[in-house]
Amino acid sequence: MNKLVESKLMKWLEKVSVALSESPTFSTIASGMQGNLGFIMVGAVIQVGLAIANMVFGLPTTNEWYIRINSIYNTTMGLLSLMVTFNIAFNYAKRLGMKGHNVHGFTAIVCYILVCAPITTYTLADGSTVTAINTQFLGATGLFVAIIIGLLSVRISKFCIDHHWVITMPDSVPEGVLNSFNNIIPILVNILVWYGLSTALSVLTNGQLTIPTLIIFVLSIPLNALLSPIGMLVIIIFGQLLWFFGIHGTSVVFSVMMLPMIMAYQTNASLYEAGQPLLFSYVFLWGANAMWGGSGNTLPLVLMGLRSKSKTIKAVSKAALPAGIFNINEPAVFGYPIMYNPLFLIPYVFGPVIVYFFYWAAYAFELIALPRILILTTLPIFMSHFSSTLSITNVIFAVLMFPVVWLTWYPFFKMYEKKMVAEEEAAEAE
Amino acid sequence: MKILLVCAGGLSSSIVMKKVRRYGEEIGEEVVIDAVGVAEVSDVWNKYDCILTAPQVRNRFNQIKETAGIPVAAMPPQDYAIGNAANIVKLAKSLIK
Repeated sequence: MNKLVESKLMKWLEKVSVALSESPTFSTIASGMQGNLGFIMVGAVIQVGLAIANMVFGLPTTNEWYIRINSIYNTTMGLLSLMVTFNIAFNYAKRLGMKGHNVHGFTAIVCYILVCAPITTYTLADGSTVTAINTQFLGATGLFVAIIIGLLSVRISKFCIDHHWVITMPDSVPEGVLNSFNNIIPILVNILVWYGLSTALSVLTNGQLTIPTLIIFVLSIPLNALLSPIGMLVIIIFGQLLWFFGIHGTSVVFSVMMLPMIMAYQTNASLYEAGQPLLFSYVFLWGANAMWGGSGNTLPLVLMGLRSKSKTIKAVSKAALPAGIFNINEPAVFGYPIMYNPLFLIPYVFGPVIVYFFYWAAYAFELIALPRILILTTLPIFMSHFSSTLSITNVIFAVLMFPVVWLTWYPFFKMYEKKMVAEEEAAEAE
Repeated sequence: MKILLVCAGGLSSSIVMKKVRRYGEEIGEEVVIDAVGVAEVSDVWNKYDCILTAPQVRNRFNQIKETAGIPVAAMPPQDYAIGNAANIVKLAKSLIK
């Protein structure tokens, strides 16, 4: 086991994750998404409130007040892609050290609307006209497009600025005025590129394809590979391995998983709204690694340690318990320690895999409810099982998983305890 | 002394933060300490004297060091796990001097 920990493969995995999380593009996407968590949370609160009103007080979804309150959800989660476009462009411009981050954010929004939701005038049946934008791609559906336009539009602007494609003014013009003139050409070039591409695509395919549908189609190929039984297993094992090296595996993996996750939840939210059955996505199985006490299901290990004969284990477990109840695993990972501890490699990395199969079976046999409410924050145990579905069966399932997780830890805990007790006795004898 | 703790999302470091605050009161020293996630460092670092990073964001350590113009050090995993405030304050002091 020691050999495996020090093997080339492990070193390589560690290097990859560092490279991944240090790349400006990758961290821009992550921070651009995180900047919207507040809106996602507000959307979730509205959803929970409406679900309770619907289930407990029987308020029908067709009720005037239900629709009124639901429009808050539609203008938070429903505009997610617009916000992401801005945030990503803003953060990317900041990261690349460009002037006037706001301008680049708004340039990206303008391009996004031009490409995904052009302002169009429609004639209604009674002959009157209405000017509107189609909101189809403004919500979670457009997230990939939002990332691509957010990043590339900044790149285009940077290209223009680096090549001095700016309107030159006499020296007497004040700096502030100059800056607003400087942005004219980058904005124009962006509009030309995006609107040009979009128009060309539409003309060539007779309106069959648009930029968002094309991007979504192309990306669905790797995404479908990822959102498969094997894809999810790899994701879980990779995340756990990173944690085993003491790196926050969840945050690394999450930058990739966040998008399919948000999309699957929003699909289910709108299906629920329409009174239709919810859809299963393999992305839901990701929760298998954090059912009890954060990534790696460390809470049972902490509970075992509370009455340990080893003083070290006992002290660490006491310190780790409150955090564990809130699904925060760092004290256990670094204190026990689990990181770089060959004894714990198997239960820590493969314990979640066992839970994964139970979880999959429970969904497949429809024993537990499908999630639809996205709460992207760490919640205490039970709360985390309940909040996404508002179903008690999911909590019962998690409780049933406790002995399973316990058993995966127990033999390894005993081995480690024995070792620690022997070491402590030896230290005292000296 | 003003310390900024950094972890992935500011959750686990806030546990350590509370322990250091309590320790500061006990020894009667003024210790200002806050906890944030990696993404926020660039906006807030200039209000502090030094940054201490959590072990799990080791992969972002160089990036944090580049963005912040103050001394940065990583907390030893064991001290971080049990929130050993005495050692953490000692580490911060050694950075500022």
